[in-house]
Amino acid sequence: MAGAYNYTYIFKYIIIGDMGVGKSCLLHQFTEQKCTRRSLSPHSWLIALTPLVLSLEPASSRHVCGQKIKLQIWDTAGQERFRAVTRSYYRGAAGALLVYDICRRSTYNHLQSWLNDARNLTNPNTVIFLIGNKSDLEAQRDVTTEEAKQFADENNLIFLETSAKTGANVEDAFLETAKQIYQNIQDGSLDLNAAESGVQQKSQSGSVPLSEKAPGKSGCC
Amino acid sequence: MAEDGLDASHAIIDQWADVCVHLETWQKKRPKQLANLVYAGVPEHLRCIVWQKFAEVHAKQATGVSTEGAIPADLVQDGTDTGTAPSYAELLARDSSFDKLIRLDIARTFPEHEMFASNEGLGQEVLYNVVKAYSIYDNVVGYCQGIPFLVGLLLMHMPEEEAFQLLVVIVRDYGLKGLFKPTMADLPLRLYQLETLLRHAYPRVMAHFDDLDVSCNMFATQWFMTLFSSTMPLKLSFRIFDLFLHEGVDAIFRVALAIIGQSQRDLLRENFEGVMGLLSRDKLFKRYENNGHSLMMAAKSVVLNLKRLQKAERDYLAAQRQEEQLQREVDEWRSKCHELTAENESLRDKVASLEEAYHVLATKNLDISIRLASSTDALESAQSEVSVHELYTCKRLLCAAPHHYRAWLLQP
Repeated sequence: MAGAYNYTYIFKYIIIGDMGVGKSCLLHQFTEQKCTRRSLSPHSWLIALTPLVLSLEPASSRHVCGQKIKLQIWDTAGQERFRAVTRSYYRGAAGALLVYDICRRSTYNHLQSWLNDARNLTNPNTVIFLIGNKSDLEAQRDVTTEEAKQFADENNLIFLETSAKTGANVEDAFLETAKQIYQNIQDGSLDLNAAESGVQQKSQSGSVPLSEKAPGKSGCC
Repeated sequence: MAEDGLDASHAIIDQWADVCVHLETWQKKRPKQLANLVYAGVPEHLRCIVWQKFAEVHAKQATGVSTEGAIPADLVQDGTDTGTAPSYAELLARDSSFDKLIRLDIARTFPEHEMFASNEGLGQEVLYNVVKAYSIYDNVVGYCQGIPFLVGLLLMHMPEEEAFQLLVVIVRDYGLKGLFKPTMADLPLRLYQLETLLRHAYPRVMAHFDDLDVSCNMFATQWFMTLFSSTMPLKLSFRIFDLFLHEGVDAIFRVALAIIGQSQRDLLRENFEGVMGLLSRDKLFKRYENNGHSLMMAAKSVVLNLKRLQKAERDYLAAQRQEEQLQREVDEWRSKCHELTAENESLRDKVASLEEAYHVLATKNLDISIRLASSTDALESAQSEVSVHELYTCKRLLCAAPHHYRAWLLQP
């Protein structure tokens, strides 16, 4: 595979949020720049039950702070009863994209519990990015930008509203997250040697493992 | 062999016709022959009857009662009259609390299939009907992502009401209830059993998975939750479903082992991303699109060690009990810790108030000391004043003394 090592870092992302908020579509829009039902590969349109793990080689237009960064993105199932399953995928995530649907308040109301999972199951330096998706459906808006922004500020999250359908802000959300992670590496707050950092750095002697051994059955304590 | 059994020979069709009538006899007297027929695939146009027959006999063996024709009443816990089960039509007329969630998923179930492709199509409507009816009918399970795929498979072969009835039997008697209910308690159990079987059958692959941090839940969750139908090409999904209705959950283990077995050489070469890619839906779909028969034959040759499977179940349950026990202990310690923290806090409060009292006393003490010191000063200066006064008096007396007496007094 040519270019398989054409990057400096690998960042692990996890995409979380309620059912039907558009997690898979965001991922698809980011990777393929389109998200109409016809354009979707079958998997992107199917209900995601097993995590879809996508690895993206850095495209030349997508350098973050001059670095070639490869993203390993985990898409997850959103139904409440799949929470226990999803919890085992958080570990070692450097970035978490927490998605709600601006047209469905219930998905916004559940953010706190998703955030608790993200905080409890990742390392303290994991960058959590709040995404209000479906911004193209302004007429059906049920959550104002201001309140979501306030929620983001109170919880120290980066926030953007996106549209997986039109592509608005989607790339920014993924790349801003990467930028923030890279900054954390630069200022030393993210320790690359820690097993849970979620970042793999290419080095001469081989690569730092993305994470340690698989978690036990229940995942957390 | 044809994927869909369309060109099944007359002889095979005759055999299947006989199976439909005398299934229990075939199970007892010709199990191997029956298995051969199942692994070769049920002829497509007989699936509706064969699936129902398999489920009916399985249910009879599982519960000891025939379920033919009527919805079993024992699952209905709708708070009304539990004696009479609501009819499918009655269920359709009711509202489901899962309605919104179900609607979100309907368009995401078999979107490539012409029957379910259109948002306004009849396919999506009946799919919605059956899933909604089930969510009301079984209030333990309600709605679980994964169910629409099973319903979709059934609806491709039979009318909606029959699909609903078959779903009821399948969830109840084929061990799917534990997967679908809100705790999804059986999913980690099944994954653990699969892992145990894989470790035994493909130790090198599993060691490789361990190195890469790949665990079974990352690829096999949907194998169990949709019986491969969200992963595999449809024609193969039907055949796996044939096998599932014949063998129960063992079929899933067989097919899973066959997949890993057929991919093991590739898996061993790959890194984390490569392994996840090989076991992803897209790759498996392509791999088995025209090659489903080889997977079924591989599944057939899998030697499923039932004792090992049962032992894995016992081990898992024992480990879980132990974990629960540990959790209880942790909870106990935690509550003890809470108590001690509270006690500590009240002691801290006491210390603080004592310190305050001490402070007050110390201030008082200081005040007194200062006053004492100033009194002492006053006393001393008073004393010295007294002695000056005495000296002065002596001087005066001396001056007043007679002359000769003063000379005598002053002589050296």
